[in-house]
Amino acid sequence: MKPEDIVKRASELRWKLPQDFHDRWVEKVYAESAQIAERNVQQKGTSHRLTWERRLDSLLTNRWTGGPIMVLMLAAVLWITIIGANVPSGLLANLLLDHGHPFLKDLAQSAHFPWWLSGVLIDGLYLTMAWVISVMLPPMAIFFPLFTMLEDFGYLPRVAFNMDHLFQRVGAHGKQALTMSMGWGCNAAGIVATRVIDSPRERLIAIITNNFALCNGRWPTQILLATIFLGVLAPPAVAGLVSAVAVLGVALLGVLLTFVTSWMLSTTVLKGEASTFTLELPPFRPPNILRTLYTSLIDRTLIVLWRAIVFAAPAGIVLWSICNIPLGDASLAQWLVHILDGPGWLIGLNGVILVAYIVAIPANEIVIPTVLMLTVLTTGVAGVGEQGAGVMFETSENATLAMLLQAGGWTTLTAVCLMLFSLCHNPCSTTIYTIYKETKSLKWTLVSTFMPIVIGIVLCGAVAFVWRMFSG
Amino acid sequence: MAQTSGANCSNCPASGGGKLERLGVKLGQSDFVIALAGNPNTGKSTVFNALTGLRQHTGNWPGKTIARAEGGFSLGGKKYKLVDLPGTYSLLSATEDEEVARNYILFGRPDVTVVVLDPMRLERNLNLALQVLQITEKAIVCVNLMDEARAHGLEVDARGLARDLGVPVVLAAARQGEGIQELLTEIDAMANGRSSCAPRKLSYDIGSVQESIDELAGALGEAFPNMPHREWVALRLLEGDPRIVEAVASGEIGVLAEDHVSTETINACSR
Amino acid sequence: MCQDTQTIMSEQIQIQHALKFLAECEYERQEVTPESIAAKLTLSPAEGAALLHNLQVAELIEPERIRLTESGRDYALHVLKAHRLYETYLAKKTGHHASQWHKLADEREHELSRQDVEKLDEELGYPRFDPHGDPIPSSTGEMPNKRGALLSTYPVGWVGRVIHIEDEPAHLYSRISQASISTDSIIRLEKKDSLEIVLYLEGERFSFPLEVAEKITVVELDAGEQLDETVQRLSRLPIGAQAQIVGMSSLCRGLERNRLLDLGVVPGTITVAELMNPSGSPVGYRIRGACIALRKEQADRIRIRNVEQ
Repeated sequence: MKPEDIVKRASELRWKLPQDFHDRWVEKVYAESAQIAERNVQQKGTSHRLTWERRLDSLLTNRWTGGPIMVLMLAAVLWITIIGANVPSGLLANLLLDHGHPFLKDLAQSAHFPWWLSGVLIDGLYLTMAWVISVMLPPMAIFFPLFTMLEDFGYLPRVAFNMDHLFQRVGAHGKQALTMSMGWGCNAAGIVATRVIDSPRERLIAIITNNFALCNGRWPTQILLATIFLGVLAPPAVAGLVSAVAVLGVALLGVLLTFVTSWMLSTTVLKGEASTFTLELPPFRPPNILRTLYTSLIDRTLIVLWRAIVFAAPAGIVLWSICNIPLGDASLAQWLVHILDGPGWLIGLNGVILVAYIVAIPANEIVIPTVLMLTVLTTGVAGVGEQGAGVMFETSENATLAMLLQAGGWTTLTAVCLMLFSLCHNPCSTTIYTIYKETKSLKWTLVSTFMPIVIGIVLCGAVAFVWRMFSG
Repeated sequence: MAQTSGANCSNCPASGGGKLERLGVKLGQSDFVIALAGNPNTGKSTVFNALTGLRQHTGNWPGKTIARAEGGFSLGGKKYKLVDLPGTYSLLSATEDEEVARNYILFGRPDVTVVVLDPMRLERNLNLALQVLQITEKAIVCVNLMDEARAHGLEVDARGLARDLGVPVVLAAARQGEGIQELLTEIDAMANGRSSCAPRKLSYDIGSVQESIDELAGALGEAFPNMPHREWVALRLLEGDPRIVEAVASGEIGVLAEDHVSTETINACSR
Repeated sequence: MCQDTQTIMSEQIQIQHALKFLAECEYERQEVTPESIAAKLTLSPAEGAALLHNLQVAELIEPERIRLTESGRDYALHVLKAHRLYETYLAKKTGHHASQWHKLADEREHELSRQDVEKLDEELGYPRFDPHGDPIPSSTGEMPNKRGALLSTYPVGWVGRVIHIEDEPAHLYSRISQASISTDSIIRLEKKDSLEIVLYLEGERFSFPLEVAEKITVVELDAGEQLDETVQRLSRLPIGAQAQIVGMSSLCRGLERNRLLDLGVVPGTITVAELMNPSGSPVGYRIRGACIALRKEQADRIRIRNVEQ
């Protein structure tokens, strides 16, 4: 028989197959497996480990204890990350920014670099990269190992189990709770983590909505704005509380938006994508701490950091250039700020913020320094950031910052809208690239990029409109 | 026979220095290809790491390793390439992962396929192992996580298992490095043709199916005289598995039956 | 120009719908009248007559009576196959809801060429029945003989097997599918009056409007087969209780069915309900040594039998 004939004969014979043939075949293989397993495995005595595991399982998924444990774990991870990152971040900033930058400048001067070359390379490229490293590396180096340890222990599937009914209502998978939490560390890492969702539709939903998880590059922006604009509205005794609640409110708004957009996606564009649900609750395993540290550093932290640096470096060059390339009687940056002031006003922001966001697509970490630098550039306030145009800086003096921003025309509305816009804008370029790599689809990459920014513009526009209506 | 193309090249100076041995760098020229199959969450990646010295992250999540990882090691003067296949529960359904694993074992014809099993969930794991044994003659079963099994009070009879499955069985706890040496010895023996096995074949006596299978297997045997696993191919043909139908219709299945294929071909055929 | 193409398109679609209807009637051995065609395609009597005339001119139906010619039947079977295969595709490979399948297939069937249909057939592994239990014509145009009768023809207390569920109108179909009744369920007709019918299956009772009895085709059970009162749905298994899996309903299909089979949801497997989410779904079941969480809708489609601990 020729090959084609064999295929043809097979399709004729197919009609003789019982309809449940596939099921029966799997059943048969299983029956045989069960037989072999029974013959060759013996249970000696009762397993204490199993009883212990079941007890732990019911504790972690119980109606009364499951939720609180989840919240406590999350709070602990975030707290350790934020507190623990302060010191190394400070050290890195001191080393790379306070000492490394002047040192390189001196070096360039003694090597007789032309001013523009040392500007582009040291004030632009080097400074941005140093900034990203000092702000991004410490929290990620703490957050990811902690998360990985919970993962290795087997706790995360229990969280997915607890959260599934909420996510099911919006057409998503319980595991999205985890990719979302991972997004609070870094959206790019959160998107890579969606690999554990094996159903195509639910995975896409998790990828597209991950940007609403406020990432580590955006927490500082929120905290800063809440402190210097919202905290001061309250009496000093509760100022700290008010700003903390404001930041938490924005993070929770992100969770709400995750649910709303998941629901929208699953009932519209993703309606036809195939969907299945399987969630295996693996046995608990003691995490191997050293290995976890090593692998999460290599797998997650360094890879994400590397990509951020790769994307941030050109941004630094662009930033320095637009501040120093003159166009008529002002720099390119000033022109851009001027042009974008109008659209910015409409959504409660200003030109400086929009320019900062356009330049800062590579990394959210550099938004605030860029905003400060551009504000100095456009307002000409003296006394801060005098290193020159296109040089990012930050100051720990909140009063100085408030003064500077108020000189730039900032109000409480600007701060509120910026907090919202920081939650809802396009993902950073590392994340966009990761989305493309994971979905291999231009369409979904574009959807993930533009959906949040459209929501952000609408949200900020509405807030600005209502605000102005009531404040006259 | 299988290693002729590799053996020639391993002599030439450009085939990578000794330093690369345990670095897991892509070893283009290797003498043997070893595939690592297993259910998700059986510590398959830990076995992979123990063999290659690589540190691939292995989370306690079913289905963590999505992309296929490759690494290498050398043993007794021969270079081995180790391919970590995606963790799957079966080779029958049409998910992407399962297709990659299935096509690699069937069409890639690795020199040895190591199936990693979890003794605490042996029934489910044997389900995959038995399916693997239907499509390859050279398999080794590695019962991993023996440390956990002992904590659970389980005892595994390796010899009984080997007798029932018809392939060598190694008990291991890859995290502690236990059993890895034995596994290497078995791999070495099987790759070099010093051990042989007769994997347990399943019968297909469901309803009137056996007749159809026999007929198709006979026809396949005539068309492709050297083709192994005829019955399994006949079964998949009967069930209308698109990839197998295509491979039979184009005659590709016969070519693959003849010789060892390079990884490039496998990449192409796993689409 | 644009207007023209549109009229031609819709005319072709009309012809295809008419042919599909004729083929279905032929299979069901039902009489076709000009009125029934016009009603099916929601046309006026005049439009219906024009359509029949067109069919005759194209030699798709016989000149004297409303019967398919050889070429008409061939064309009709192609459209029928396209429709049913596409529904199977939607059921197996996409996440569209069951109530959407018919509508989507009605739109898509006209765009599929014979080659497309062959390719789809191959990709789906040559299925023989669509998700509603209708046979899909083979490449040589063969279909198994029609079996069964409508549920409405049977008295209260009758026990039998569902083999086909009509997918129109959509609101009735979605009610039937919500109750997880599938084309292999064994049911008992518990009650029938002028308003409603009550069906018993798998340990649960469902009441439906009377019209539903016209939408379900059933057959007598095979010799020796009976409705097993001990069979229930996995979703009813209380935490801590143990049961033996009897099988999965045909509503669980495609990727999902294969996944569950591979996880060990096969007849004979012993399972224990171990953990329940406070909201009732998902529930963690110990299946072949591992704890697998299943949602309520999935557990509804798995049949079990209680066994002693």
